[in-house]
Amino acid sequence: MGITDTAKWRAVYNDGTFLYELDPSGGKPNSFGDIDFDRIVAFEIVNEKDIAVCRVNLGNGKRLIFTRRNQMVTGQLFNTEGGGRVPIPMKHHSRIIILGWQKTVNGVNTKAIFYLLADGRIEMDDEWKTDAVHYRVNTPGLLPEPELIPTKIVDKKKPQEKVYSGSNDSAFKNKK
Amino acid sequence: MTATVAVYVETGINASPVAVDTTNIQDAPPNIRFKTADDPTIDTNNPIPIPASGTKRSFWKHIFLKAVSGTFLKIDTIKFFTNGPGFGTGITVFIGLETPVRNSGSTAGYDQATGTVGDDGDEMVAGTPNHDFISDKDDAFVDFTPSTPKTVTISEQDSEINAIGETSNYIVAQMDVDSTAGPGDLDNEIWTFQYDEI
Repeated sequence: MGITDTAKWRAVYNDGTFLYELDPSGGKPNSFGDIDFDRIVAFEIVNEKDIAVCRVNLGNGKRLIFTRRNQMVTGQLFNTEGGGRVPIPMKHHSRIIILGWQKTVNGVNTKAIFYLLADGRIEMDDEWKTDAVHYRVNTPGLLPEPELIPTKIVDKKKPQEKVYSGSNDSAFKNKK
Repeated sequence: MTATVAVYVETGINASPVAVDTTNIQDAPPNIRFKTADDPTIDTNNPIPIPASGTKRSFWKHIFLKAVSGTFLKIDTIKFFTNGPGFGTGITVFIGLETPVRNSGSTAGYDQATGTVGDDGDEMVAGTPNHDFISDKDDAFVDFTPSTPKTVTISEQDSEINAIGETSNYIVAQMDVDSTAGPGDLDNEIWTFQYDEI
């Protein structure tokens, strides 16, 4: 089990209180949908010792980016050296935590994105990519969504792969 | 706190197809086997013959994701990709271009695989009969890599999985074998399904 399997989130409110995904002192678990986005000032990822290992400061028009990106693998690799077929140990489920913010500045959607990978590495970027790991996240927006402007189509054969800019992703989803 | 999602394979007649969690088919991988029969069983029955010329095919398979337990707000952004290199010379696995409708209330996009059991499956795109909802196909090991994943759509409300029992749409897969293929039980290949969850 890596940190991406055990880490939980907590929302930090403007009165200094927290809403925990899983309160360390007990109590019922909370859903992401329970967060009061009118009061949130920061969003944190906490480890098993309740220490915040990542923090996103919000406010000033920033919209939260957050998801747990899961990969499920089917099949099995084998080592066939020596004529045998020995299963190679492999993890059939892994998880990436994607965290950050986006903000529209002068009509341009700017972003700060952290990828907390299953092996503990952290990547940071300022734009989505089209590969599986770094693909756009559809986090519910914290603010009204700007106008959607289609910019290009990646592959005409796969029209669902349209890429948009100047939007957050809830708007993108509604346009598909 | 998080969802448990399983990969399902669905087979059987159009009126009442049967979905099986691939991890329940047998204790260890492989979880999916291409064969010339419409069943999910992992066995050596009904292999795909190597033709003297032309192509022999498996029966096509309907595959989808289903949320089976856990607490979550929503699941979306489902991607499918392979890590290559594929099954080797003379063998191609195709994925249908469309992702036909499958949700917690409907199997409307299902079309039972047909062909001659033990010999050849009908082609999922060209010819008659074919899959009613597939118009074209891509090579799973060439076209769908981590850099170019396939989007698997969702036809639940709001295009999201947000309750236990809800599913993705189908991907439809079929193996083609031509005369240059080698005989025997092939080594397994790895497929990855990816989804976002909050």
